[in-house]
Amino acid sequence: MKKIFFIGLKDVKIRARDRASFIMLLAMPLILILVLGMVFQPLWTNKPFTINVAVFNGDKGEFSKILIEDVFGSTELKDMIKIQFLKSEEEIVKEVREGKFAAGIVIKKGFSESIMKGENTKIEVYGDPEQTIKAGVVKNIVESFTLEVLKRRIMMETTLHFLRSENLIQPSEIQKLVPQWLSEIENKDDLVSVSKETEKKNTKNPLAMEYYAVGMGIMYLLFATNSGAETIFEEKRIKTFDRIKVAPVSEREILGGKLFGIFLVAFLQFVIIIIFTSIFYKVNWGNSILGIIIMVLSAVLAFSGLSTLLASLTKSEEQIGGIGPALAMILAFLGGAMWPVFTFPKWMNIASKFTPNRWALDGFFKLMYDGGGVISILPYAFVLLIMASIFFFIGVFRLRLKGV
Amino acid sequence: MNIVEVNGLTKIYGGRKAVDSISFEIKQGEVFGLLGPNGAGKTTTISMLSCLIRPTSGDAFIDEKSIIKEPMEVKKRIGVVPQDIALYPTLSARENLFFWGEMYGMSGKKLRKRVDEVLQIVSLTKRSGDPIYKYSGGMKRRINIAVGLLPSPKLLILDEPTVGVDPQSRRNILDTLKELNENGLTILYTSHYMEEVEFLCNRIGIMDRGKIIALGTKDELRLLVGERDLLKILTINEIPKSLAETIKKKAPEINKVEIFDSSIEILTLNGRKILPKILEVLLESGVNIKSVEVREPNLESVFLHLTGKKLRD
Ligand SMILES: Nc1ncnc2c1ncn2[C@@H]1O[C@H](COP(=O)(O)OP(=O)(O)O)[C@@H](O)[C@H]1O
Ligand SMILES: [Mg+2]
Repeated sequence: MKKIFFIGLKDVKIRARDRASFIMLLAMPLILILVLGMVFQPLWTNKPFTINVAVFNGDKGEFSKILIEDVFGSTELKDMIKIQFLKSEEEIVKEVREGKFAAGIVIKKGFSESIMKGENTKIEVYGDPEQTIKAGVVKNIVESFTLEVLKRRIMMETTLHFLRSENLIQPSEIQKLVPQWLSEIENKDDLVSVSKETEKKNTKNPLAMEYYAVGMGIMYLLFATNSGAETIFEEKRIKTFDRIKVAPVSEREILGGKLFGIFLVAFLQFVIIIIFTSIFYKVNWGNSILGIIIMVLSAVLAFSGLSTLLASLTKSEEQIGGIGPALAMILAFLGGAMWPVFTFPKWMNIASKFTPNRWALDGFFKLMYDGGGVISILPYAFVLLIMASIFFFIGVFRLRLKGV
Repeated sequence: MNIVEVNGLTKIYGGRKAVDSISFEIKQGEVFGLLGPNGAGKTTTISMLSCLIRPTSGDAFIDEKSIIKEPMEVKKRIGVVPQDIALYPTLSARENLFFWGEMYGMSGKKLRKRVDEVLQIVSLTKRSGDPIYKYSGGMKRRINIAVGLLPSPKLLILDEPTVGVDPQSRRNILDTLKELNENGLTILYTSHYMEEVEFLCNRIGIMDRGKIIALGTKDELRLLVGERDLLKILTINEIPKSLAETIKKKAPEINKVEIFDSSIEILTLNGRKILPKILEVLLESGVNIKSVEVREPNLESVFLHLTGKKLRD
């Protein structure tokens, strides 16, 4: 087992010494993220994409009106968010699931009343998993809205409690007074200005820089894993492979060591890119460290598997070196690393689901734009790990047949 | 005690016998040489002994462990210096040695100490921090050998370890190996350089076309050619092949005449006496002579005697 570790570590050491690898695996993606981010930023901010939102409003009260008319209807948001009213919650769920809307909002009957009475209530937001970024924007707006409402309610309740306990007010008067207070406390302008902040925060979110940090970070994983896979051929050529074989090292350890090396190079590359972009490019990779770690590990494993498979299907460094970059580009494009998948025609959207890039991208977006935690990315990590298993299974099988 | 026993070892590649049922033993503490021209099957033999490739048939035992049944045990007991420089060029000598040590299960202080020792043995301590690609051919060869020494093996196997090095480095390598042997290391050495094998080896197997065609100590092998001398005449122009017959007629006591493009080799008793007769023939047929050499019997003459070929072209 130790020997697996040493073989992998040695491969990392060799890559780290190699100037060409350094440029290829670190400088290039970091420069690309910067350039793409700066060049395409205007496209992202000047023409904000539209978000189709379905709304079922069962509430006839004041609060839902504020949300729909004043928040979503504000000058900042109304060009971006297109609202359509549907008749029931079931319909919302169905239409969102079919991808007709990026998000659906369900406001329950008596929502405003419950708030006024101090009862628990909530707004449901359904997001289309295909449109993580857009659904995330909607979710964030609704969340800040409810937070504001909640803040005011707590304020009110504390006041009421105080008044009641000091016997300054008759319970019968409360019913009458509350709506009156509310309209005083609920300065509408104030609420909208809060939502403006929310809105600004959210349109800032899908920064081109952040988008490409994820897209290129994932695309370059294949470059890293392929550079590792190439060393299988390289070690055969410079005969170090034979030398390991005449040492007391089992075949399993040799192959395990090489695969570990492939993994380790890509893992370190990705971690460096994440740290670098979050410090110098101000990319926000999300708040869930564990979520990020899980996504990084599963994405790196998927691409390590893919490169293992490639090594088992090719005959030389030149072959895998020729296929690698082209494949990386195609997968990155299909997976939505160059341009968001929601701009894709349907067939491409389906095709993209066969790329590890798509699942990795969606998982990271979930963390970055949707405020998702560990649970929310598990499906994406799971698919990546399934892909990794299939790639490794076939790749290792074929490599062992070839006698690596 | 025999540390190596080889029994009918054979390797067939696509119908061609690269190694053809060879058998020999190596005693503890000796230097055994496999001498043969390129393509004789030396590397194939060594690859089988170091468990890199599986023999088609036959078996061999190293320290009583079968290369077929217990390859891991065999690998733990041998150090191998391959024909190619199998090192990581961008890593330093020291880093290479550490990595290979780890492959032999060594670690920590023990490994560090051993790395220092082998660097000392090959006299490369000073340059050990430089990456391998900056080394000269001879220095690379020495590190290649150092890796073989690293696990303190019971048997050190070297496959043509001096190919492509300058004469001084070669001298250095041979002296080092001799010294290691004097300190008790058993060595299996292959080469196509007769002088190296003669200098280093106690017993020698001469290989040609997959077979061991002669086996014994230097003296035993020399006896095969008797007290015959080897006359080597280098010429400026080409020698007509037909001259062989003329020479044999002129001096019937000659055993063998081999004519190459611009040299002629003759195996004979009393070389010095016969030389004038031969020169006469050559001069008569208009051959311009560049140099003449009379050699006492050596392995080269043995090889010529057995195969009618030179060890090297
Ligand atoms: N992997 C191989 N496949 C086919 N033929 C081989 C292979 N390895 C060696 N040979 C052949 O076997 C013979 C012996 O080669 P080798 O052991 O390398 O000789 P040496 O080391 O004495 O120069 C040569 O004719 C060579 O062409
Ligand atoms: Mg050879």
